[in-house]
Parts: sequence; structure tokens; C-alpha cells
Amino acid sequence: MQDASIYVTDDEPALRNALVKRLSKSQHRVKAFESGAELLAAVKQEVPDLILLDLKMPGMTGIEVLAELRAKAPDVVVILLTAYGTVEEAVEAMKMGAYDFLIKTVDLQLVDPVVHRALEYLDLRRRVERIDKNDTAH
Amino acid sequence: MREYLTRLFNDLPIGRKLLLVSFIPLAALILLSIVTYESVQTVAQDEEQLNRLYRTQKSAAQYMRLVVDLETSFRGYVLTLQTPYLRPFRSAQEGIFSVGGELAGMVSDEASHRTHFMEIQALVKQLILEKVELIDAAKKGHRDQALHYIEAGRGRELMAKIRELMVTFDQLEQQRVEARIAELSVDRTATLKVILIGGILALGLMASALYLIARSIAGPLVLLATAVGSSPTGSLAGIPVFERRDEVGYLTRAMHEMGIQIQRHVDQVEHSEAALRVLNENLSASESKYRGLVDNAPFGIFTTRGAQVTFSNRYNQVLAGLDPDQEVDPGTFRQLIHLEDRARVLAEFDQAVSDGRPYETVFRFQHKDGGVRKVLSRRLPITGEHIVPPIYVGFNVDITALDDLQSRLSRSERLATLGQVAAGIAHEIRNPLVGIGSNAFLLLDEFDASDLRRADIDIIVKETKRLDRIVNQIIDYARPRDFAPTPCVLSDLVEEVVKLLNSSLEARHIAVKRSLSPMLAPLHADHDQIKQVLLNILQNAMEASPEGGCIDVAAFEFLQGQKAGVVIKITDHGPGIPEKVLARVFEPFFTSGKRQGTGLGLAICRNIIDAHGGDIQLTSELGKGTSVRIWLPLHQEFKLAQG
Repeated sequence: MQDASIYVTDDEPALRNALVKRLSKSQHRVKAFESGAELLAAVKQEVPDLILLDLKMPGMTGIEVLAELRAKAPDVVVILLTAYGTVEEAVEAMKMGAYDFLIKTVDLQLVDPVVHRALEYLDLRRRVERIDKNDTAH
Repeated sequence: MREYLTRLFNDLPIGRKLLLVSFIPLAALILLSIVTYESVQTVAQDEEQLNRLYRTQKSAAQYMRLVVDLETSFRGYVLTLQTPYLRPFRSAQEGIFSVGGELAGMVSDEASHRTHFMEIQALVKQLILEKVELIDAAKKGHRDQALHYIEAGRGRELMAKIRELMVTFDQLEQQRVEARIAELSVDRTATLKVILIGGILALGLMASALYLIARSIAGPLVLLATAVGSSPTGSLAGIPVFERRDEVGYLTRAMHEMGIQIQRHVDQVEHSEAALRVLNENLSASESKYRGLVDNAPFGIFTTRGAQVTFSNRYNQVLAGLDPDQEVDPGTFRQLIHLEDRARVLAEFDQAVSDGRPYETVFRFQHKDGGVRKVLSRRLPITGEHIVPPIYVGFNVDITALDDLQSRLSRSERLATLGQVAAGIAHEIRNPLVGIGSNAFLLLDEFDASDLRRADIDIIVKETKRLDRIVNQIIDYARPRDFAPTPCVLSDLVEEVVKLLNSSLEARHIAVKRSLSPMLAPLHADHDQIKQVLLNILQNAMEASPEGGCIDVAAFEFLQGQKAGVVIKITDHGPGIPEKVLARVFEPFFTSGKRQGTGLGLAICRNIIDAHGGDIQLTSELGKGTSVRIWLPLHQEFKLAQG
């Protein structure tokens, strides 16, 4: 799936920029946010396909943001960004409805497969929804 | 009356009683003697009289014979006229006079006798006078008258008369003699009777007197003896008292008093015996109670005399590594003190004993099986008794586990602090590091594969990756681990680890020789953590091994102290580790100069093994290789939180 709308939220500009650059290369529409509050404000305007959300941020934490997103945009797919050694928190967040988690590594080698898989899942889900809609329409 | 007499007698002192009683037979004896004497006297008189009678009879016979002699000599003279006949006549005449006089004195005073005898004397006198006249006449020649006289038988007539009278007299005397003899016999019988009766009487009196004394003295004594002897265990106070004023009464009173006193003493003795028994029971009860306390106390209790151990409880023997059920020579304890502590402890305690001070120290007992028990020992002199050498009571408290825990705790505290600092730094470093790395990685795509600058960027990426790995390891070391023990099969763990390292091992042609005991019980441990330990150590061994070398992995069950466990030994044949380095290998961030690694591998291993309650040791010989020995308990008893 290409040309997906992806929101990246991380307080670290270096990593944020790296992620944006990398995802943009894969022909996605990427928007970057510094904080959870900014993200939530943007989601109010437009709900993206995928959100990459850092767990540990100043202000609202990833978990808090996730809780709000569940309420406002239940359909959005969320991938959590986590540092090495804090996987337990990510697992905890997945129980709250996150789709996957991504360990922040130097080479970002896992970003592409994880994002790809999430978008495939999204595509699949949308197709199913469409079929369901058609079924109900007929 | 009789009672009064008895009482009077009883009241007399024994001396007087004896005197009184012996006086009775004495008096009887005296009386008897007098009577006997009297009787004997009478018999003597009777005999005297009898004698006189016999003499009278004899004199009478002589008298008669003299009269006949007179007659015969008269007739001789008259017929012959010869003068020699006159001489017997004269002597007969004189004899008649003298015997007659005698006889007259002897004749009894009885009148009939006396007259009878007077008649005889008169006739004899007449006869003599007639004869004397006739002889005188014959001398003068007038013999005829004399002859005539003879012829006429005048003489004969007189003689016959005299004879007749004499016979009568004799008869009378005879009668008297017989009467006297009868009298004598009666008197003799009487005397015999007196002696016999008197003797018997005296004997009887004597016997009864003795009986009286015996009854008066021995009776009460026997009663007394019966009273005392009949009840040896009974009441001694029941000795009867005789209300008498003599010695027996006094004796019974004294004995009664004595009996009461003895009874009182006996009662007291019995009472104190009972009290003693109760005391003994209490004592033995409390002795067993305190023995139980001492025997079962979970710390060592011992006593010393001077510096010499005299008693040791069971637990103290356990502490010293001895069988608690075996009697031990108290002297062996000092031999069981760890060699490094022995001289110090003994010298210090000797000094404390000579000063009479309490002594407290920490030392170790060295067990024969290699185990070591650390002991806090406190020894106090027993005060208040000046005994030389002084007696000490000592307590040995096992602080091995405490000490171990303490050192572990301080280490883990130290490590926790270190870990926190390290983790804080790591987190701070990581974000910019990821920023550098991720951006550099993106830059790689900007250059062609042939571009030389790409190699420079590649270096940046690789070094940031390495830094990232280090940071992650630091975080790993400091991160709290979830301790989740499950049963693990050690051989499976080893296989898993070898598989993980397989490619590296094969690349360097290193063989892993496994000799695991087939009977190993499954370990109760955290699978992932032990795996990590084995991985770290095997990796180290691999790195130390020369190409084509081999690594030995051995495992066997081993009892450490009282705990069942497993020893895993991983030995390489590399260059070995110098002693100085060996002492520090478990310190975090300590590296032996190898290019790769953070110096946290063994520190993490130690953390994990500690958390399992095991221990890990490294031994190395330069030029021969290094051996890691891990001991893990089979079962997890407690969990140590670890930061």
C-alpha cells in the first residue's frame, strides 16, 4: 500500500526527521509532530492511516495519547516507538489497542517491514469493511 | 493395803530395794541357825545324860563285883586265916566306898532311884560292918563266930538281897537309858526337821525376794523394750511412763522424753526428706528444661574454664563442623578455627581471660568438607565467683548467611547505584545516538556504491551501532529482571547455547566437549537468564581459545553445605588470566583489554547467579587456560530482588 497518510510523533527532532525522510522515500504522506497534544489536535482535523507514536515524551506520554486516540479515532492504526530495554511498556500499550511496536535502533532497519505490515493490515481491514458495507447495502 | 505396799516398795531406790529384799532371807537364815543350834544343843545334852547313864550302869556293875570280891576275900580269910586274903578285902572295901561315893553322885535325882540306892548302900554298909567285926574277932581268935556266920549264910542272904536290889536298880537305870535314847531320837528328828524346813523356807524367801526385785526392775524394762522394739517405724513417742520414784521411773521418764525428741527429730528428718525429694524433682525438671533449651538453642552455647572449652551444646558442634550426636573432646574446638583466624582469636581470648574481661569477636570455623562458617562469638566471665581460672559462658551465632547476605546486599546496592547511573547516562546517550545513526544510515542512500564518502558514512553507522550495542548492554545490566524460575534441563540449555554460537565456533574450528552427568536432576532456575550466563561464558571461552582448540563443558551434582545443587564447569585452553586481573573480572566495566565488549558480561552473569542463590568462581592458570565454575542450587528457596 502506497501513499498512506502517516503521522510521526516524537520529541527528538533527529529521529523524527530521519523517520519522516525514510517514510517519505517510500511514497507516503508523512506529517511530523513534536508532542502528543499536537498530534491529537491534528487528528481532530484529519484522521491518518497510521500513527507512529513515541512512548516516552515530555507532556503527555504515549500511553495517555493512545488512550485519547482510542476514543477519538478508533480505526487508526498505531505503532509505538520504544527504546531498547523498555519493551515491557510497549507490550502493555499493545494490550490497549496498539497494532505493533518498533524498537528505536540506529539503523532503523525494522521500520520498513513493520510499517509495511501495518499498512497491509489496514488495507485488508478496509477491504473487509467495504465488502461488509456492500453486503448490507444489497 | 497391798497396793500401798507395792507402791511403797516400787518407790524405793533400787539399792535400798536390794538391801531390803536381801535382808529377808538373811534374817530367816539367822533365825534358822539359832533354832538349829538349839536343837543340836538339846541332842548334846541328851547324849551327855546317856553317857552318864552308861557310866552309872558301869559303876553299878563294878560296885557289885567289888561286893562279890569282898565276900570272896572274907570267906578266904575266914577259912584259911591267912593274911594275904585281907589285902583284897581291904582294897574291895576301899573300892566299894569310892565307887559307892561315885555312884551316889551319879544316881539320878529321881526319888525311887535314890531310895533304892540308899537301901543298897545301907545293906552293903551293914555287910561290910558285919565282916569287919568278924575279921577283928577272928584275928583275936574268935573264928567261930565268923564260921558260924558263913555257915548261917548270913552273908549269902545279904548278898542275895543286894543283888536283887542291884538288879532292880539296873532295871531302873536301863529304863532311863531307853527313855533317854528315845528322847535323843526325837530331838534328832526335830533338828533335822528344823534344818530342812528352815532351809526350804529361807530358799523360798530368797527366791521370792529375787522374784520381787526382778519383777520390780526387769518388768518395766521388758515393757519398755517391747514398746520401743515392737514399732521400729511407729511412733516413738508412745513409750510408757511408770509413775515411780525409783531409777526405773526416772529411766522411763527420760526415755519417754527421749522418744518424743527422737520422734520430733524423725518427723523433722522425714519432713526435710520430703522437701528434699520435691526439691530434687524440681531440680531435675528444671535441669532437663534448661538442658533442652541449651541443646535445642539455634546458636552455639559453650563454657570455658580459663581459655579451655569445658562444655559445648549440640549446635556449637554443628557450627564447628562436628557431629552433634557425638561426644567430642572440648579441646578440638580450637583446632577447628580457620587457620587465618586461629592465632588471633586464641591470643585475644587469652588476654581477655587474664584481664577477666568479656570478649567478642568474629571468626570462622573451617569444616573438613571445605565449608566455612562465620561466627559471631561473645564470651562473658561468670561474675560474682572468684574462681581461678575464671569460667566463661560463650555464645556463637552463625552469621555466615547474614554475612553472605550483607556482602551480597552491599554489592547489589553498589551495583544498583552503578546501574542506575549507567542507565541514566545510557538513556541520555541513546537518543542522540539513534538520531546520528538513523540520519547517517539515510545518508548512505545518497551516495553511489562507488563513492568513497560512502565508506566514511559507513564507519559512522558501524561505530554508532557499536555504541548502541554498548548502551544496550549497560541498560541490560541495570535493568531489573523478572525472576521466573522453571524446571530447566541443563543439557538442553547447553545445546541451545552451542547452537547459537555454532557459526562462530565452526569458523574458528573450536570443538565443545560436553561431559554432563546423565543423572542430572532438572534445575529450578530462570531459563533465559541461565542461558544468558552460559552464552556469555561460552562466548568468553571461545574468544580465549586458540583456533582449532576445544572447550570442556562438564556438569555434575554437588552438595554444598546441606544444599543439593549442580556444578557447571566451562574450561578453555587459552592463555589464561593473570592473577591481578582475575580478582577483578566480575567488576562491571572491567575489561581485560579485549576490543569487543563492555566489561559487563561477567558482572551480569554474577548478578544472575547471585539471584539464584548460587556462586560463580573463576580459576586460571597462565598458559593453560581458564575455568569457570558455577554452582546452582537445585531448588529455589528465596528470591533476591535485584536492581
